[in-house]
Amino acid sequence: MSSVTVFEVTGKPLREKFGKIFEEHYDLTYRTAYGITRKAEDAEDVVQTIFLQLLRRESPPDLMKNPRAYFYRAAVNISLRTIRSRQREVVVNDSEQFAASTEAADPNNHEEMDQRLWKAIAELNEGAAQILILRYIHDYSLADIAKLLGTTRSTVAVSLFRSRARLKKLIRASQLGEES
Amino acid sequence: MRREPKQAGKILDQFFGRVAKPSAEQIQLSRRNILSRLGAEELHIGPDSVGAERMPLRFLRFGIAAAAVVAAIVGSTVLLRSRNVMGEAVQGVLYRGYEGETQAIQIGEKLGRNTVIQSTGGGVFALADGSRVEMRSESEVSLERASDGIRIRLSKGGIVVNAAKQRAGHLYVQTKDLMVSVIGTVFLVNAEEEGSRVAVIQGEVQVQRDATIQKLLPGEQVVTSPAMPSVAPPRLAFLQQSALPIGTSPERFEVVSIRPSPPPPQGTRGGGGGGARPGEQPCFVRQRLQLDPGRLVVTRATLHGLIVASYGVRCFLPDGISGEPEWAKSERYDIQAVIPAGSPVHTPRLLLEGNAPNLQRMLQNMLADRFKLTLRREMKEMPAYDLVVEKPGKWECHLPQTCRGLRLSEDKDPDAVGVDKEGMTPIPTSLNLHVPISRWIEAVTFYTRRPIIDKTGLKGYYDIRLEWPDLPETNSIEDLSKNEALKIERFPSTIQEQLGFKLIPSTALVEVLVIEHVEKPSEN
Repeated sequence: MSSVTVFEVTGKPLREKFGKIFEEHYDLTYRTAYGITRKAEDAEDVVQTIFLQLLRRESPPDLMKNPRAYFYRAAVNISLRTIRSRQREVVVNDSEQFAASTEAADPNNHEEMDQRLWKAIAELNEGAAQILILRYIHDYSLADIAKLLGTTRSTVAVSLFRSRARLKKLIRASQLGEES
Repeated sequence: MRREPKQAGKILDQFFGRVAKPSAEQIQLSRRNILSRLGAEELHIGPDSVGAERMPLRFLRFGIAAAAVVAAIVGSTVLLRSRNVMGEAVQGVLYRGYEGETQAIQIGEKLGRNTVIQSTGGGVFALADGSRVEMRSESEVSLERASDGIRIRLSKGGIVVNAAKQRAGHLYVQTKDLMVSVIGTVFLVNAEEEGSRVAVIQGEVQVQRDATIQKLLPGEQVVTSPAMPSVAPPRLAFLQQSALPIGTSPERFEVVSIRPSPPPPQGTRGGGGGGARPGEQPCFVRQRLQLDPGRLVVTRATLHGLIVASYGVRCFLPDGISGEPEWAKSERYDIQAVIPAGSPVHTPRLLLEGNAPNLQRMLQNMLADRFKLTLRREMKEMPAYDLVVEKPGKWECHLPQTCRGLRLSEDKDPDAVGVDKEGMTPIPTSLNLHVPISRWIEAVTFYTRRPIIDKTGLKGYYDIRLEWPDLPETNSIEDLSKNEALKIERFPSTIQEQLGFKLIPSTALVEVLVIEHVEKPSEN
């Protein structure tokens, strides 16, 4: 890609290039946001924010280098921020708590564990979260992740190993908590 | 018996396997929504650039409004194609009033500037900025253009406005004696003979009355006449389901199976087969709910629980549903339903909170078809409490990790402030972090069994931690129930002591559901 500003402030190039870029990157950006936020409306907000930011300013340098990685990173980061802001508002609904406490536990109920894991993923550093999501949500190979993010296969592997270890530790701690 | 923990790696892989993947229809639908908000038409992103699928006209039209914003951003001039089109009819039955006569408005029909819109039984229209306006029965509005947005003039009845975020300008609602302006929120406005009422459900609004401007936060309301009684602000979940005349929504499950629940296996808590077990709640609980994009399974559901979940009413408000038969809270059913492909995906939590509108409408139709349920809504005056501040609440810490009371939320990560690590205290607590008082009220209505009207005047967001000291140890469900009864009994004195709040008995108007007819479910 040339070094011209992709999203010039005025004129036809803006429109033509915006459309092309949107079509090229919408799918991965949306799927990523949906996978993380798990809500269509949140995913829409994330994608809209990313593209609106581009309309509002000149293109950032990392967009020039690797647009796909730029959109993917932005989708992960903004989606995780969305999750974090959701977590800020913790509401203990006493009626629900009571109802749940008087019912037998169902081993097939995953939602609580899922919430904890998403919270833990949101707390990983940005790079580690991006790699984890590419691997396990989008089923990318290590080589493809390395290529997309401009890093090495071994860096990706190490990052995945550490992230998994951290999440597994959380799961074990939760299990111990349930058992005690 | 001690359960063997599953391998963490396997649980992690199963978690990734459950990650939500949008359907092709959802991807396309969201794409259209995003493009329309970005102003796709003006940016030359349209049907040609996306292959064969054409963007529906209504999205293009919404796009025009959004394009104005984009145009302002990029500094070019975009002319709106039609300044006269303000919105379109979405659901329910609406009428156009013209020179004393009325004419039905078709779904999808455009609503022009200065159109008088009337509703006899409830209906919904959308504005060009994406806002949704739900008209209550016997209401009348007209749409006007304001200098920096749209003005809805409410001449009678009530509306619930779910205002889209306004990137520039405002959305206004005008009654004869006040004006409300918003930049994105959910609120309710009533225009009655005695005066007007505004109640905020989510976000914040500005209310202007004569020269006075007042900001309202969630749970707060203002009335222009002392003759108007307080209204218990309904749950957002209830409002979302309450705009349409009951039984008119098109969403349906593809297949539904309803069977009386079998007796629980030997050795589980309680007994009683399809009937209630000791301590068993009439409302849905997570443990008995399975939901994936194509299927809903609920075990041991009651009619009461189904109505609560479908219509978003509060489970523990005794008069929230009236006219229930005796078996409504005791007879249990196992329900399996197939959700049509392409339906919006909801999580169990959203359904439990009453925030799964499509799924809730499918449940409503299931109740109408199989239980022959007919309902109506009614405003009912009922006993309530006014919540007032007796003395300013404090935040007191008696161990490094154990605090109680109330404080203005610092909006920090709960772990960072070091007081909210659950399980660090042996004393049972009820904890709410970073919530407006109205949300806390919603959570604790469980203990009052009556609506609570917020008259604390407390603005902003709070961390609230209630402790329940001196409760007996619990070894059984019966103990838990006894403890909950003790909490109910001690709630007024506990909040007085720990939060400085006082509950004063009062009355309030509450919108309730009245069952007109219901039968035990028909055979599959």
